Amino acid sequence: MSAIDKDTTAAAIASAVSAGKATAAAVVEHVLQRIDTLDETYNAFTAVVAGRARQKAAAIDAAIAAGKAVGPLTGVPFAVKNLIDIAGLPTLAGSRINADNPPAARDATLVQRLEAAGAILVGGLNMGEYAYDFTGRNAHVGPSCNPRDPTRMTGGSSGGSGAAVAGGLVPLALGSDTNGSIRVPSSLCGTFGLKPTYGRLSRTGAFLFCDSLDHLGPLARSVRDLAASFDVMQGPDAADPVCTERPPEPTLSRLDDGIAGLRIAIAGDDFEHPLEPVAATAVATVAKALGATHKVALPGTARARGCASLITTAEGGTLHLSRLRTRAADFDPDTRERFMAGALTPAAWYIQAQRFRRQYRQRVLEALQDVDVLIAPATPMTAPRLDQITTTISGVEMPVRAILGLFTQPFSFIGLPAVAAPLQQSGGLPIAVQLIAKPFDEQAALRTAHWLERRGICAAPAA
Amino acid sequence: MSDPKKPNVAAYVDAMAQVVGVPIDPQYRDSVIANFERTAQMAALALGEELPDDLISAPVFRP
Repeated sequence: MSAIDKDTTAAAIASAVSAGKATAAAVVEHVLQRIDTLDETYNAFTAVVAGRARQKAAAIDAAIAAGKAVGPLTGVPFAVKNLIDIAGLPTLAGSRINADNPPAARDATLVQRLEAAGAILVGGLNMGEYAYDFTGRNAHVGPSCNPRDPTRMTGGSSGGSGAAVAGGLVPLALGSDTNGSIRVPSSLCGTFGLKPTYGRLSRTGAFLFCDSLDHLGPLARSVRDLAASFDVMQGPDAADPVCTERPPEPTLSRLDDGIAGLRIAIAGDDFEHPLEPVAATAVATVAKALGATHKVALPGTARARGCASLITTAEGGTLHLSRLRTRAADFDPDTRERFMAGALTPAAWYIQAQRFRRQYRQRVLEALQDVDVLIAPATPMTAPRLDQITTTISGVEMPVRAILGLFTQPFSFIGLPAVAAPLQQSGGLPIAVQLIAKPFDEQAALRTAHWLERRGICAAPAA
Repeated sequence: MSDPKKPNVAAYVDAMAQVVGVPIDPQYRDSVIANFERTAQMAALALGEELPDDLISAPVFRP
């Protein structure tokens, strides 16, 4: 078979397996071997479903030998943040408490859709407890560690997803994003990540955190892999009341269209500080390459951040009420008191925040009237040390946990699709920019990211 | 002396925890209060301006 190495993309694996140049069984063994060797360091996986993966691989190889049709992700190993149901396992959502729940009866919708396209689930991934996290820390199983430097944070809450992809353990992982939990780890670990439009992808079978703001989406080492996985995961799902009834809008076939015709601008004002110089340089580099000079201010962004946080804490605290009553001591100390405070949020604050959400959406869409893709920083800084609590930017000391999601939160608040596109720094840590598009226009953001990737400006090689 | 204009967050947390039925162990109380104070600061910033009466939120509920 042709060599499968840590950098082999999902597209290359699918192509090799479909053409009979590699077997799905060999791909799975390669991945299991890498997990076995490296995950002691990265702590990305909380469960490896080796038996299931081998069984699925054998079935795929048999189907190919029999000349049967195979899907666009044939033989592609993937893993999912452990708030996404895997049949036969309890859905942990990063907690100790959920380990006492019965195992999931079936796979989440997105797992089913990826496997229907030929992909092979290999395991569940570490995450911040109940997704209330930007760091990738977890008191129960330890932090996920950044493959670019394992003494540093992955970012969170989809920390295991970032580590598994950046570490070359799997070419594709699913995460969730409420205020930035796909885009923050993508930035700190140096992977591509897609937070689709709110409601674009089904969340059925995911242990949600904050229903009003929760999204699921992929992380990968190439934009093509983001698009290929996104395309097969699209489609209505009556079981998720938020999931759109729009027919799927394929993006893969448009990736090579380039950026001609796209109006690209830079997010100004609230998106220009606080930024470490490396983050500002990343935005400037991408803007220059794309020929973007026009800055757009998004009025109300400071309020948007506050309202997103209010909705998050109120819905999260309410979701966990019964557990806070009976299992308080079993929560991660990083989340417990935040959830308790959230459960006490006055209804007036929550409802006002929901109303402002609609006003901010309107203001942003007006500001983006003549813009197709907006460039913004993904994080204000590169990966902090695992034990780091604060950072100093422009002479001001700030808590790391509070600032990691500053630039991602406003866009998930109003559900705009965003791709995190990483820049690798020679001898340094990666950092990503966000490419934000209008609702249901993921293809514009993906095309732009792919254009940057083809020119070597953005890249996500395995560590 | 406590500032009479500043809301008594500790009293609110203690009372609401009772009303909502979330017992807060003494070892967590200070941190819950500190977290609620941060939420209150966000609310003051985020909700300081009046919203028009005809601005409704966007619920997804479909009967």
